Amino acid sequence: MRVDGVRRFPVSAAVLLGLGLGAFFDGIAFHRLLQWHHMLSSWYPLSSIDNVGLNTTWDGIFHSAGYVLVLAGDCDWADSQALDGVFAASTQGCDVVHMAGTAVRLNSILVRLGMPQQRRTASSVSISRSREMTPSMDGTVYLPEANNGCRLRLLVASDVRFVRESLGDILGKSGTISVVGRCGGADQVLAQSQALQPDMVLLDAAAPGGLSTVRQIRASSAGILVVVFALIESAETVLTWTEAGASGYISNTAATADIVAMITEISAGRQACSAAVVAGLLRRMAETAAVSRSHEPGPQALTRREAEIARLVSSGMSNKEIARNLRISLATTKSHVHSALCKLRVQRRGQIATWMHARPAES
Amino acid sequence: MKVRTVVVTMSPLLADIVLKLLKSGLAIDLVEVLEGREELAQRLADIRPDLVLLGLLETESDACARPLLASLPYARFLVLAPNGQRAWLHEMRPHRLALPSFSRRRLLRILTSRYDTSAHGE
Repeated sequence: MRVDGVRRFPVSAAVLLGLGLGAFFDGIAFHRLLQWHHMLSSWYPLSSIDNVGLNTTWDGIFHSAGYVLVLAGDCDWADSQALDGVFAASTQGCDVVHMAGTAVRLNSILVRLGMPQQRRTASSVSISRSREMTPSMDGTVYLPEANNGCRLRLLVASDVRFVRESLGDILGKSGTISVVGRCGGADQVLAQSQALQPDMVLLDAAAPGGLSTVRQIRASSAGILVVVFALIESAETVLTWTEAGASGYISNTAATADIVAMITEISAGRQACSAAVVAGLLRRMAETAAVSRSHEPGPQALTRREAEIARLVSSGMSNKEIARNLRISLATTKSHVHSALCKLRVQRRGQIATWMHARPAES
Repeated sequence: MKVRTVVVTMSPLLADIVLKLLKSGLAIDLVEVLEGREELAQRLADIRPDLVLLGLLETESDACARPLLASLPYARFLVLAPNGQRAWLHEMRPHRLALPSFSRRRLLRILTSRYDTSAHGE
């Protein structure tokens, strides 16, 4: 029975109304509905999720990645459409969130679907995209493995249609990656990243404005990894993309058969790269360190008097003692100490001492 | 029928994606991968491919496929821009046009339209 399959609601209304329909099925207490609503709103920024469809039948609503599927109340799980719906939603990247009440039944469904199920209590559960449940919430949530961090939610981005379609198909067939979207153009990539909140964006290195796209994705959603593919591998290109915020890359010499493994490695924090790239990275690090050292404040930054005062400060003397020792006024001493602090870019006298001890020969 | 295929100057990843796509509809037999263009026409003539996947170099246009097609008229050349953004298929096809009750003027117009006449004014 389709109660309201066409109208769309903001998520808050959808959840409340959806749970209301759940009550229609199951007679759920109102305080529980409010509790669930509060819990969901802590996972999903309401402003980022508009137009959540509301449906009491299983077909149609699940066929768009990015939906939040709320299973509220009791449903007829013997209905094969329901099983198909849950399965389709989870494989298309939807978060399948089921509230306590029919949890046992859902659990059995996941078993029947051959999907590993996990039971977590409210205080420990974390669902995909690292949304933490509010610890004070009561209840139990069952999540399919596919949406519990085991399947990487991937957005494929390339201006070249056949490339993004082909890569999407290849990666989607792997058991470890769920392709939640495919798009081209910087605007689309940014919009889809925001809307779908994937774990990773696989971005074509040839995409116009790619570096800027990476920066914007990382600035708006730091949790999303950006991996650049079809990169002409050199230390320079790798560094350029890395500095823009890319978490990894796949070179244009890679074989499609290896891409799944490479993506998995990158998501685990590992990156395969050529010896030439490693050498280039080491060279750059050495250069950066040298530049950094040259910009560090040295003893030459201090005047002779400031250096003398810094030495006395590091020996543990107070301003009064220094003034007495050097036969200068207390105000002058304070002025020199302040100047030394500024030049050494430190805030406390103890740091002057540390700096002096670190450079005994130079001082 | 197996389609004897040669890949020329195309990035391995792009070539792999294209070949995977083609294999879903054609019996592709990858017989050679050429990373350079030295004596390309001769090498292709020796290999006698049915299909050549030709990756363009930066600033190159797909017109580079024309002389190759002239020397291998039985082959098809799928030319791809370096990033795969654009593609062109070069092939020769038998063409037949019926000319019933043609006039001298019509005959001339049909034939001249088959040739680029812009150079004749020089």
